Amino acid sequence: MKPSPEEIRAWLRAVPDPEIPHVSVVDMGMIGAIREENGKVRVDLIPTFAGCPAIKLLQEQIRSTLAQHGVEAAVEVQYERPWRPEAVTEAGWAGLRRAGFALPKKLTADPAELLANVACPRCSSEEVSLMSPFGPTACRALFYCHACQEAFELFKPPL
Amino acid sequence: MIEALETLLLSLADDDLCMGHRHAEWIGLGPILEEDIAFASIAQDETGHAQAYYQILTDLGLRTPDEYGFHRAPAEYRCAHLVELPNFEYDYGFALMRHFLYDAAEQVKLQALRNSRYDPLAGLAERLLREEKYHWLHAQTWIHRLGRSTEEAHTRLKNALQMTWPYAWMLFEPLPYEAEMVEAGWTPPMAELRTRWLELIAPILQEVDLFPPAPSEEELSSLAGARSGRRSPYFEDLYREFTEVSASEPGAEW
Repeated sequence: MKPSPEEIRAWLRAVPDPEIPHVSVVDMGMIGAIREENGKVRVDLIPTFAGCPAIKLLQEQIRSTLAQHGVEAAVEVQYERPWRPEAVTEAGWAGLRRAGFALPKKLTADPAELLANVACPRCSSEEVSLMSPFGPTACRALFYCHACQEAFELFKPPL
Repeated sequence: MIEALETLLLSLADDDLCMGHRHAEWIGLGPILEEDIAFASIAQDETGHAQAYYQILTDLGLRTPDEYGFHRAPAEYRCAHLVELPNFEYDYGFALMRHFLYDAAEQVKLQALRNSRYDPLAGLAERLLREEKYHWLHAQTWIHRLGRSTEEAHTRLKNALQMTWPYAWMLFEPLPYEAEMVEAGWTPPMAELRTRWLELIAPILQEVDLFPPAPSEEELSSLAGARSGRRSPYFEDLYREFTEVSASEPGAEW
């Protein structure tokens, strides 16, 4: 019996975002349309940032995870549709929090506003400084908390 | 029509590919750790954006992103000379000014291309704009900060601007087949985009007392031809470096 898109989506919850453990590619909102094409299952992968170096790895992991369920899949990277933070699920936001990231308080189209409204994920203080809008990966920004004197990272979505 | 489309996409992609490479040269050399990371991160984005533009052409049955990126003859590249310029003496003022002028141009181009009548390009422009906002914020922040700090900072920015200014204008050199592209609704004319670019950067540069007059016609015409394949003297080294790995093992898969 052919698996339904819902089943495939459920299986893909086993594939973590390689740069953000605790969160699956499904909960990160990176899985787009799932449909049948030329006898194969075609899965659209929507990267957060177009230059994300993990794209190839993700394609492989999605393919091999589905192969374990006996499904031959083609994973197509979708550049022509932006990834949207609104596509992150509740479980996704919870996983990001668990991984120690500060989360944007409000999803705004203005990066200056987003970066100016950040609280420390450890002590909730708003006495924080932006050290760099760029971090170890495209989707992170570096902050410092003056209250607990620790560095932390903001999960920084494309806006 | 396909030549026009390829020219438009290659002008965007090749600019990003070379800019990405030049920015990446700052890895390990940034004046502070955060700037090292910023330039590395922006470089990674630009290179990824180049790949995404090439992919539109690949989807039309043309060459693959790797073939476009690494296996063309120099005269087949369509980048502007601004992005070919080396980092010379690794003056951060120069890197910052080029980044500012380039990212302002990207803002203007992507905002216009979001409404392109070529749907794949419109969709991609929408996506890239959401990522590019951080580049633009970064560039403006530092121009604002350093432009009003010490005399040395101001002088360095001024020298950098003097050097890059005509090159930056030539980011908007009319493209081959431009009339066709405009007719098809794929892009506004480059001259119109240049006007919007000047409107965007003028107030920011005026605020730090740095806005220069327009370059002379002679200066501009001496730099003409980049979009039809005329490479600057700096391209050769850049090209040798970014094709080095793929040239070492032709046809290798990674």
